[in-house]
Amino acid sequence: MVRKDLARFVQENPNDQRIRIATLKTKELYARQNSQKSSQSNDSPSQIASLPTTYRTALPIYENWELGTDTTVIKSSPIQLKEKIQNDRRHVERIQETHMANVSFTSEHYNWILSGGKSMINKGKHVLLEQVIFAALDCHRYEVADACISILATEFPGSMRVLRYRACRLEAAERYEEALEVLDNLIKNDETNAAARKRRVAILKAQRLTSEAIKELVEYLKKFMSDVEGWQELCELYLTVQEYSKAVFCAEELLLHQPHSHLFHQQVADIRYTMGGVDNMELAKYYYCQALILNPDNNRALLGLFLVTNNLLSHYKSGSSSRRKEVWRLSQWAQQRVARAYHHAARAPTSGATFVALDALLADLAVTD
Amino acid sequence: MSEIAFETKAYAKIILHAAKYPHCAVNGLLLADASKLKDTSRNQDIDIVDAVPLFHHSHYVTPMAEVALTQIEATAQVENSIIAGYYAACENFKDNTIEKCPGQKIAEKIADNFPSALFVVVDNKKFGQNLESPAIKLHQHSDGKWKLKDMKNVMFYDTYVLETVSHMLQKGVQKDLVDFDNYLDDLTLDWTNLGIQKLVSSLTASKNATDSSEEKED
Repeated sequence: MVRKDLARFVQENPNDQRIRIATLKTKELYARQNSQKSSQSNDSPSQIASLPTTYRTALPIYENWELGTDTTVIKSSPIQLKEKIQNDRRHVERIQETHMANVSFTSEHYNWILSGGKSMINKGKHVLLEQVIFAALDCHRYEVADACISILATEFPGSMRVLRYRACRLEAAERYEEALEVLDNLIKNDETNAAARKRRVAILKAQRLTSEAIKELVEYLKKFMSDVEGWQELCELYLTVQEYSKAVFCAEELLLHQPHSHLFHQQVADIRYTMGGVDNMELAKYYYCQALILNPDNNRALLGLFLVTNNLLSHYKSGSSSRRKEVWRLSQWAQQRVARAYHHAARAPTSGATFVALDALLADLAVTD
Repeated sequence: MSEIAFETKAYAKIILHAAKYPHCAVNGLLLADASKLKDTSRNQDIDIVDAVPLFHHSHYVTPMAEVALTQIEATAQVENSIIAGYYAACENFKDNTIEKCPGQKIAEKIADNFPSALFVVVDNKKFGQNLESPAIKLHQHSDGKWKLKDMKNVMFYDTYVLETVSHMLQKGVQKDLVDFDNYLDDLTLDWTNLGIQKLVSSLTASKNATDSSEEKED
């Protein structure tokens, strides 16, 4: 919803080139699947969360806020405003653009809103205000954020959504206890409020209480089992604490929700490869193959398949010949595809010269028969 | 006491990479000039000539890391450099220590091949658009542990390194940086970042030129 309104806004304001919002429709989902680059950049719009989930960090590194204040630039806590990640690639691009233009984005739109933007469609205006709140919190511009929150509060008194923004504001200022209180109230009033629960997890993660965050997220997922972003986040959290088997379980849950996503297949395969052992290698091989069936251009899956098959070849040195032959053929196929992909890339005018590396790479990684 | 020297482009790439993905943990490799190094000696002076940004996601899964290490090692050999270190920046603002950084296993592997390997942790708290001091913490591998090195023993070739990098940050050069993740998504991209290297050298040259012209005026 956010993106469509913002897109309309963009069309009406053609001068503002900094916003590139993708308006995604579900029927185009699969078509777009193959252009996704990594499982961390997923185009599908969130069907679960009521709000667009955006991945934020407070990085006032791009400040040139015309008020003349100097930068309080820091590499931020990513959980400052981290909602459960939608990991939309376009989102990430937009976020990056938003970051880069964060201050200008914030300042311009804020000024515009204050001055005369009320002529704009009401729906769009509020949505834009929400975006400005997040952008302002990213830049630690609390005055702007507070002002926007109060505008929203006056228009929607007693709104749960606005209360959530207040919690975000407290979170950005690192007043975690108060933020948690606000969120607890929200949850008490409305047991089905998924977004508030996820923000709790985000706050725990910001405080680096990883195991608590994991526990909370597991509880959340027991109630809201179909939340794709929640599973994705849990998978990442398990990986950071190196609980690979649990992480693979989460990744497989993701596959249940989106069985046609080549990225999720590749993610499961990556984790299996990391776990090691012949069984995991076999499974990794299957998942990489499936990822390649879904998207033959997935470079990570190609390279992963090459690595896995070579690994298996060394295991099957003395094994049955049929298995070994099959793995050998797969390895050759993967090698050819990788070489072809690199050659295509090398012919492109802007490519760097990595040819030398390719031959060495294939040689080093391969098992010579 | 071994001296570590940083070339501007290496430091610049580290900072730009961290700036490009402020919401992610990032990591990468450090390349040193191999012609001045002898493999076996421990306390030698290391010249970091380049940095290769690696990943900003999927830090904990290994296949792409293996691919990257192999490929970079091959390229480095051609250019007569050696993988001499690893840099990382943590996701959380407050994490500034080695233990919280992703990819420690990669660093240990590097240390296996190169005993006096370096581990650079980007100091999130010193990160800014106007850098006043190098926003990194250096650790050197010795006796199986990573020991923190005093920044006084770290030299930058260019006196204006901080200003150059600050200038680039302000201009938003980081969006043109290509890390290995970007390269895996699109094989036509150049992960050696030649464009940024040229920019760095031209900025350095112009700064030095203004310097010398000012001296002449005196």
